[in-house]
Amino acid sequence: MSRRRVSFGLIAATFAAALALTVVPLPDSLVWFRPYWVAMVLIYWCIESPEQVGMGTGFTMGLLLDLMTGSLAGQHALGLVIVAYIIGRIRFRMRFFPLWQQAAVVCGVLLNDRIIYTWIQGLAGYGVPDWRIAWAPLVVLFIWPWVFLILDLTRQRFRTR
Amino acid sequence: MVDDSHSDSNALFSGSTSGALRLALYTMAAVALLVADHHGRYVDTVKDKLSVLTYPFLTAVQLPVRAARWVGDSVSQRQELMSRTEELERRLLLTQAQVNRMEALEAENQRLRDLLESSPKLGDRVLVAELLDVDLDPFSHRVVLNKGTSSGVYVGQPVADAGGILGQIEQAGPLSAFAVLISDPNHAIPVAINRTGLRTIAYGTGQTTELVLRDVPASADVIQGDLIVASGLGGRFPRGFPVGEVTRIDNQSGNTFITVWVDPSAALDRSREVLLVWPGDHRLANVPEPEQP
Repeated sequence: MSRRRVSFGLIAATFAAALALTVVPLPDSLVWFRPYWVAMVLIYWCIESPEQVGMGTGFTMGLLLDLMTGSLAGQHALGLVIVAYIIGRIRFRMRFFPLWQQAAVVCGVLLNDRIIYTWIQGLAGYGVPDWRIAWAPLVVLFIWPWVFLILDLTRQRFRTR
Repeated sequence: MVDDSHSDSNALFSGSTSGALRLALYTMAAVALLVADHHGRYVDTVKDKLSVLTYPFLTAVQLPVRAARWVGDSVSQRQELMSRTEELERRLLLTQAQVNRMEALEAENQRLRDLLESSPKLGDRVLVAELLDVDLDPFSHRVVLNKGTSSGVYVGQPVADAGGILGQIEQAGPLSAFAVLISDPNHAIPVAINRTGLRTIAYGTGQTTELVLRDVPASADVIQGDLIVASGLGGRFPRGFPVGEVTRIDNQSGNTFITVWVDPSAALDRSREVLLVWPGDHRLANVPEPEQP
């Protein structure tokens, strides 16, 4: 790959924005529709700059999320490592997918992530899974093209400077 | 953050073994952390320390929300404010009347206790804390408070709101603390039925609108509408604080125990301001005197 490296600052800034969007308060009725922002940003960078962002980043961001949101340490980390691994395996194909097809793959990966997450919840004694966890990945199906384009524009903008 | 530099760089399939290896390593690390955090106390101490990093971030995120709410408040109609003040004054009057009666009752209670030569009930000290305006994981029944160990907050401290017991402190950083709500499925609180004095345990269900009593014998006298209060056993929650009200009772004939569902008195999902309670018998050194509400 002869693509140029993306600045560390840009990657960090997009992850910071994703973390902020994760905790921004939403009305109670919308809580289940909140997209998994950090995973989306992670997926984008795993596709576009795999030299810099991969499982290690997923693990770190996951731990940060666990710290911030009060979940068990390692819970988000485990999910994001798996997301990064899957995307790492299929990213060559994903780069040539049309956006809607990409969105479908991302939605599938995130659904899988939610299933792992609930499974951990179950092991930790949090009882029966809640079917509402499926809403957030479905929302991603519709917003992924936009998120992808926004991140892509941002990246290209910073490259020309 | 920089890694993965060698994988996938020349061919479609090269690097997949090292990828799988790293996946296995990271997975093991995550699982080890999960187990350690779920079973032990070590991870909590580290989390307490690291909260210094995440707290400023959380505060920064909720600033615009706070600001918006403040603007909303300041442009709200004069009419509305006046009616709200009126409402609050009315409620203050009512509460004051009740407090006055309570004082008389407390004095009487004290005299009776003196007669029985039992230990006096000391007053609980409280401190008002605000919840940060941030959404956490919808599964984890936790809230972030803007007071930490520098205000004397300790792990295991009871947290209440105007309605009743809300939860307890699970992690305390210097400036912030995580509280776990009584609705968390892994939380249990020793309670008593106020009418009969029957002692039992209220478990969280994972729903903020319900707690459950599983250890009530089928012969027990429980009816819908019974007030459930903290029993004070275990020494963690102050005795007599309301916990909830019985909403329904599952009484299948033949069972030794009945299942009692309780509606929490505290506004578990709506509180903005909470009370940190120092139960009367809990003595702490070097703690700044908390304000009296």
